[in-house]
Amino acid sequence: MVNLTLIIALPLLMAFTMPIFKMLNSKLPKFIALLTTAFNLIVLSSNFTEIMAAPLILELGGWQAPFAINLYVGPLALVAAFLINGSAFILSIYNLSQDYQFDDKFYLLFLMITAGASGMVMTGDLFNLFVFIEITSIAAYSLTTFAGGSSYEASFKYLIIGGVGSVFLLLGIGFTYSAVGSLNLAEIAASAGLINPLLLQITALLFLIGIGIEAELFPLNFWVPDIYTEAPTAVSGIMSGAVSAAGIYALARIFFTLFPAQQFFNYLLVIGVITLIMGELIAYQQENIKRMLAYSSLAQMGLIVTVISLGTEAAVKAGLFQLINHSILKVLLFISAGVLISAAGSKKIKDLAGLGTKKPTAAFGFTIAAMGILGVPFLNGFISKFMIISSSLNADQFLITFLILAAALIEIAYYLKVVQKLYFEDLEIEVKNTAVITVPVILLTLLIIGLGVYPQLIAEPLEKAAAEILNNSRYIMTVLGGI
Amino acid sequence: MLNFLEEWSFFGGSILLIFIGLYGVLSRKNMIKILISLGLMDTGVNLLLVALGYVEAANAPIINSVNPSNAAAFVDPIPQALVLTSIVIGTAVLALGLALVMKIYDKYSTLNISEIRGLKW
Amino acid sequence: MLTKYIFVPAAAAFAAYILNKKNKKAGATITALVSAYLLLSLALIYGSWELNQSFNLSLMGYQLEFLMALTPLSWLFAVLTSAISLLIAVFSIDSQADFKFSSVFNLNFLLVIGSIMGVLFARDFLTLFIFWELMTWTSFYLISSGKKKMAGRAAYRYLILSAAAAYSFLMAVIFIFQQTGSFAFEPAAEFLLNNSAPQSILLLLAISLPFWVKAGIFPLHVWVKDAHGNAPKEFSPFLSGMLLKVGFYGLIVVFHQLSFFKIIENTIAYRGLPLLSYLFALLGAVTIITGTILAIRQEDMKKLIAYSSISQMGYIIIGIAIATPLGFSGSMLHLMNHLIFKSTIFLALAAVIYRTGTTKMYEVGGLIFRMPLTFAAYLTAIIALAGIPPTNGFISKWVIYQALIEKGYLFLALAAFFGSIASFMYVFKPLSTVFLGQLKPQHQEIKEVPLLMKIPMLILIGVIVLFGVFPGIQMNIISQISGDLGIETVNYSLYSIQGAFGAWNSLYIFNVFAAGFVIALLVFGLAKKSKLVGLLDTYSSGEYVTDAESYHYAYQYYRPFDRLFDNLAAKSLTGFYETLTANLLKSGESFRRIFAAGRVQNYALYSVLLFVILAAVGWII
Repeated sequence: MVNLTLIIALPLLMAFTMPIFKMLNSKLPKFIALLTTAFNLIVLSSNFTEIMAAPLILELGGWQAPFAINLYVGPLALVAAFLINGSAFILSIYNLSQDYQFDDKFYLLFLMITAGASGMVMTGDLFNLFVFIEITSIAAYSLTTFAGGSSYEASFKYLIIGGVGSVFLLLGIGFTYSAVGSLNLAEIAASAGLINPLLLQITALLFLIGIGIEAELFPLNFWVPDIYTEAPTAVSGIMSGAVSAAGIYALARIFFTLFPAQQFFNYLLVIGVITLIMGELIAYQQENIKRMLAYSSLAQMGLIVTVISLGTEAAVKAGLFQLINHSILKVLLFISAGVLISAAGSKKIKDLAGLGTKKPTAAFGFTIAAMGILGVPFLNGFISKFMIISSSLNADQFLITFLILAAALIEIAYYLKVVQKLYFEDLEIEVKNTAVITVPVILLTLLIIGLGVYPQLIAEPLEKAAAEILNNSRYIMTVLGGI
Repeated sequence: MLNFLEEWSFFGGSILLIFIGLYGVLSRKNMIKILISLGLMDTGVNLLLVALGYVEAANAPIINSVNPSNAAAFVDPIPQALVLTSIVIGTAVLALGLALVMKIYDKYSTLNISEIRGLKW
Repeated sequence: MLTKYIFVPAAAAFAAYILNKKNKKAGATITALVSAYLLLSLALIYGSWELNQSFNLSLMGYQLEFLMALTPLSWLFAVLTSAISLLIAVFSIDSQADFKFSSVFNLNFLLVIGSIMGVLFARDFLTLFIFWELMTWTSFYLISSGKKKMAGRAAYRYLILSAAAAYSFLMAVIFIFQQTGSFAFEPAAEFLLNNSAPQSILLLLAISLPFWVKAGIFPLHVWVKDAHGNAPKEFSPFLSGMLLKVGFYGLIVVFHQLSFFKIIENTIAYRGLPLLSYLFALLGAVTIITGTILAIRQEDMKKLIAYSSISQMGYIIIGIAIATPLGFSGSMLHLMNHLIFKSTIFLALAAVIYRTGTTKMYEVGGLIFRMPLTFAAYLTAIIALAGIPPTNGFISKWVIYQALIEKGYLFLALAAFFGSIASFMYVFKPLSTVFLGQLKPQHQEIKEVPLLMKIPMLILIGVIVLFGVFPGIQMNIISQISGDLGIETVNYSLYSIQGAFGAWNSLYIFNVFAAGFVIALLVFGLAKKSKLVGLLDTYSSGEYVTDAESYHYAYQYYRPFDRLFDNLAAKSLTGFYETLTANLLKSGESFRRIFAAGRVQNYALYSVLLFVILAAVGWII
């Protein structure tokens, strides 16, 4: 086993030494990024069994919790960290055949966003969470602009919304600190009951807004389509696959561990359903494929939030499974869509007609991912859809179940439009040379089918993660020990 | 009365600052003014955080021979540490924002936010 | 072992896909071989109704049990599936050459076969659902790969409708799973029987929804016409012949094995029939009438036959819904017979399309001179479809009439008669316009189809007549099914069936017809031969007709009749559904116009508003 702190520290180190690597060899940065993310995955795997047995607490600076900042890596954080670093790894492979204008800076920021998102899921300290969110956001603002063109505008919008959000978040942290006198998540959770109910309400809502922006909740999510559409493909991928997963993690951590009140779950349930329905309805209207994927992505976030906030163990498990699927599938969708877009030279869905035979790998990747999302049997989406419906019916939420299924139907409608365009229509166009994505497509397809046929593969982590997030007293006990 | 004012002026002032900033962000049309308002909001929050850690007639939390280690005599050091971090972040965001404004100005030749709507729906 | 019926086609599918890339005949050949294998091994397990298989799986904390078993009903459907796919595959070996999606076609065709087997052998909802979905998806790609522009749109409509229904199925099934802790049929049936009747009925209706859609019963028939009309010509026979029938399989399972009929037994009845059953039969009647009227209007031969399929589905559902021994047997007979004669028709039309490349009836004509065997196949099949003895179609319709008259369901019987008589009109239209009439100049050089296409048509002609004379062959398995489902069996012998008001002896009738045929043949042979003249070699009141087109009357064939129903036909159900969904989806449009208007300050405002609203909600509560 290797020290988990490296997951955050190494990418940051590599990030800021990137200009030096660039000086050594102009090809080096992309390989450094690949190696770093691969290393992170190895570190995570080497700690797997241990974390499954008991959550790992890493105290920084030699002080004990609650005095020092600590990292807390439980099963849930492990799952999320796997998603984040896995997405980053796959996208690094994709990046190998990609050329960016300032590639040292691109990979600097790419590693920074990975480190930031990993930090978000591993930290056990409220303020640290804020810092990591900001690291992630700032890296995202800048990464977006690598596409040039309209991306500055998208980035500016995100920056303004993110800036307002961070004020909300900081206010929430301030109020929490003044009420509890600590920033350690476990200690706050332990004494959250003592906070004046009015203050608690306001604080929780401040967090809801602040983190809701990262978790892409309606109506805080209108930056999402712009960023996903305009950013380079790898950035859309990591935003969708990794950052949103981190956002969900943070949301879950705040509302399950810190403020586990039914009232907030109800809020989240309603917001999640609205996000879901609205996202699907708008996605159906899109003519731009990346924008469609963006809206679909935030609809999925809505679905995950909805299901998780049902609050039963089965529901949380279903939501987490959906989160895993979402990361896998959206990364694949974005990279295949990226290739298709650059092949056709247009982001319009109608210009992609007939690429199925001209760009078989990318079209196959898109199709299998779309079918995964739509829940075709023997693909991973089928299992999560089954679990979602089962758990929401089990919680007696007929209306919610109905709405989830209605949304799934709209989803089928717009994904199939693209798939049919790809394969069964023809357009005489000059196909441009594009990145080669064979390796990522194969890897992700294997994952999609693997999880669809043998979901038991991740049953244990999911089980443990759901148990962990639902039991906040265990979290407190683990971190604070006997205190 | 005076005492009350003294106690609440920090909070009131900083919250007022936040609201002024928020109003600016929501209502100004000039992108630079929006960024300034965002900066104001940040400052407001930072002030609020410092105010939360304020202890009447206490010293700076530095242990030396003049100030022996006596927690009661110190203002709370944690908010100050937070504010330092948050100022750094705020500055970074503002700098990035201004850089973006430059780029956007290059493209649209305007600073009016309501004319920059290339991305919608 | 029952799983092999699923995995052999599935494995062969990928082999066919890969090999077909090398040689365009490989895929269809593999399909044919696999179907033949399935057919043989199914024949070997005939009668061993105790065969079953089960797997237990603990998945994500759910204890799941996958059950499969062989029942007479599933055996019959499995045999029909593999037989028809064998014939189609043999037929399509030669027609693959000009087919762009040949590999995809064979891949999906084999997958469809495999998943239908899965559906048929499933004894629990989860297995059923998995294979049902797989069947829907693979058939979606099959329909999409049709040549016409509309194919994509048709497939799309098909999938959306199926998926919506499948979700209702899923919801109901999982609800039952929550209550019983099992997906298997038996505990579910038990639970439903003991549950409150309205809830059980609602659940079962939700469960049966995908089957109604697949069977194409009014008002869910909207996908049928376009899907049949635009699917690849090799797949249309299977789509109409088999895929629609799988819907009836599901309905029979719901009605009998999930005890739907037992639950509604004691509800309000009309002439001894529970109101809900009568409603289903009524839907069948409406389906007959709608399908018939719309078929008569069609100018596209495949779409015409598709509407005819819809109307024939009406007969089947009537018989199943009234659930008397005669009705059930009639339905099962008609189901099999429809499969046989409808595939013959579609294959004959596929042969025509293969040679002429068009599906519009007014663009062809007089093909009897060039494609006599195809004509013979079509003729035999439409005789069967119109229900004229001594073909199989007559017998099944006769049994259904008997069942309706026995109970005195006047309206249903009228609808059935109407459909039968009016079917003369629509089947005569392709006969007269495609095969009879004047041969178009551009089709002078057309030849009969190659041997591999002739064989399936010949076999089907034989089967039509065989079952027309010996319905006892079919009745044998049907009586086993009835016995299995707990329905009384009908008295039958090899060539006669006992109806309510007397028996039908098909051998006798066949002899009469055969004698008549011989006499007609003698007259034809002895009489003076007519003289064939060229198309333009006619006298036309001193005017010279140089345009051969004007001798062939094919466009808007039944215009006066159509005019009667113009108002009715204009109220298209498809249009209604499309407007409905379009309006629903429009709300997305207004959503994005309002919310995502590109104004960043609004976006920032939303966060403040959300805070204020939630705070206010918290305050009020």
